[in-house]
Amino acid sequence: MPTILLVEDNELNRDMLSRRLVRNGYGVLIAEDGAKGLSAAIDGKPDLILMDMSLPVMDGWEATRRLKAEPQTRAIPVIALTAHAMSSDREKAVAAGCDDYDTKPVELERLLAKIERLLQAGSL
Amino acid sequence: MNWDLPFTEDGRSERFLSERQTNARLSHVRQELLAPVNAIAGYADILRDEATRLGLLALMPDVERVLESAETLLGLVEGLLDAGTTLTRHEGESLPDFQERLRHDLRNPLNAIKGYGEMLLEDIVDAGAVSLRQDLERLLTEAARLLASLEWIVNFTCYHATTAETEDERTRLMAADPLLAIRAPDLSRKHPRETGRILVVDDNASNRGLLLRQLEREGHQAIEARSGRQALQILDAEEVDLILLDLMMPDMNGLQVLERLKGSERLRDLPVIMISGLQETDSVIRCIEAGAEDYLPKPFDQVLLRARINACLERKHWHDRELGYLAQLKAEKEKSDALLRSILPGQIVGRLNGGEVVIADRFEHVTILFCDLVGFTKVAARIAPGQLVENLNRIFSAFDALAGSLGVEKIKTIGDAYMAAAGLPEVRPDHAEVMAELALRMLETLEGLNQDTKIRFRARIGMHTGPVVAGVIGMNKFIYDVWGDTVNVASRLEACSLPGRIQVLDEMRCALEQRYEFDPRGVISLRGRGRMATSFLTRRKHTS
Repeated sequence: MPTILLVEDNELNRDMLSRRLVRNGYGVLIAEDGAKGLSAAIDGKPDLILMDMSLPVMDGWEATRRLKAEPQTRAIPVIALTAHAMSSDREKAVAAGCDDYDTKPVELERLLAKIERLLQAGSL
Repeated sequence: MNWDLPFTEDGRSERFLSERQTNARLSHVRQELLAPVNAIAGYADILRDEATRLGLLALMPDVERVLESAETLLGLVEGLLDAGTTLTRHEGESLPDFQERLRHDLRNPLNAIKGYGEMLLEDIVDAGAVSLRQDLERLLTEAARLLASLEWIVNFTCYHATTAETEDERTRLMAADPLLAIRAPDLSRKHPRETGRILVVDDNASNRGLLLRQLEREGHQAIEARSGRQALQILDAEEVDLILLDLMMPDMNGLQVLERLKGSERLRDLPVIMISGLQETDSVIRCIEAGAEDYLPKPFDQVLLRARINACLERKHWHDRELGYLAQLKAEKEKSDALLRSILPGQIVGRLNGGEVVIADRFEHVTILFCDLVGFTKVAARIAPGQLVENLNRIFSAFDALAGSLGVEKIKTIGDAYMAAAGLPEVRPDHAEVMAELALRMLETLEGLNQDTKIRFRARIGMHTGPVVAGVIGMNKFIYDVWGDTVNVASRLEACSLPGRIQVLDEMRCALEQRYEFDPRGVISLRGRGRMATSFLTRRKHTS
């Protein structure tokens, strides 16, 4: 069972998305901010990280940069979740080291497809 | 598109008007954007009630979360869209950062609503509670609608949070009319097209959809109109009990629709509840003055909605019943008036209805007639009462018909005597002539009636001309009666007349001599008058 780390500060969104992931057969770890996300990634060794970009303490951009700089965690694929719907955000996310990105509100089918693709690419 | 309200007649300054128009427009934009949010909250409310009703307690936490998010969103959008909002850029915050913050704040609750909604949809199918499905799908549709207008909300907010623009720029921005862009296309919802009772008139699909759903849940039959014009068309063809009318609509606004309704004989009494945003208070007052029954502020509070609609419908039902009673009362009154008119002269009925209690008028020139059936008492002893009354009825009815056709007032019958007056209550100069005519025809008619029956009735007539007092007195069973010496003399002339004869005093003969023939009877003694010369009226003169 692949494990996904969900880094999200909004309680309702965290609860909702984590439960949806569980329903779809994933194990879920959660973290409320970028700093906690960083340590959870190191301790929990998730197969994939869903990273909200607007986070307190350490935002998603910074957390992703650090994850990608850290040998222990750089291989874990990161999907950025942003509140933007503009194409420039994709470039910004890629520049920060994200493997993919998606927008809120989440289209679950689309997100699950992205997750699956990254997980399969990682397992090859 | 014309969003302007025609509230100009109080002569306010142009400057004020333009500000006012801008405010009205802003208020409308606000409503447009709030509508999907309100609809989401409304459907979530319904879902909670339904889930409770069905005992689906497992669904409740997520339904509550949807509600919570809807309320968050509602507060947020309301705050964002308030002109002069305190929600401004943080110090040093760039415009893109500000926009990003707004997007983030808006998308989080929307994300939660969408996510929980979709989860609930799965749970509902699992729980077999398919009745909840439609409302949930509507909720998700509204969430999609809101998402479609989200970028616009952000831009709109940024525009208002930025104070640098000149009035001109602001006006130009507003004139670009973003409403067209933010309005998602109408969903082709299938409403059961039953006979409608409550008509919902709103150009906003979200408002309309939620309202219809709420009304249906309350057991009403709801029909919808997208515009004022469409509403008027529907009202031309259908009967409804109540109208929920949006104030701000393009093309024809709520006030204009209201004025059309109040100008229509058929639709005037139809209760109208205005639907209005909170910032349109002045306009609401105008509508109440124009005859609207009540108003309902957006967003709709279910309880308030229920209360206002019930109150209106109750009033309408009472009003309908009242109209029914009034019609009944009118019919009863007409019946009683008709009865009264058969007893009293029409003119007198009018005066009694007008409030007069005692009617007593003096008439200087009238003619009174008495007619007595000779030997009636003897006949009465011979035949059965039923037969007697039948005969009497036949004779007096014939006399009634004669009097009516000549315009002579029948006063009453006293036993076997018949009393009539000419020249009252309407004064007429030919009162003596018309009475002479009646007297002759009475005798002729009686002769005719005698041909048909075995019993031979003979009549004795006396008449006299002079002043009388006529009127109605007493508390009940009143009749229009005549008093005075003229009446006494006429009565006495009849009493001492002869069978088949019409007796008059000489003074009356003089008045009629030119047109009628008389046989002098001679001098008789008349009680109260002494010895008087009388004549018998015999026939009309044949004039060539």
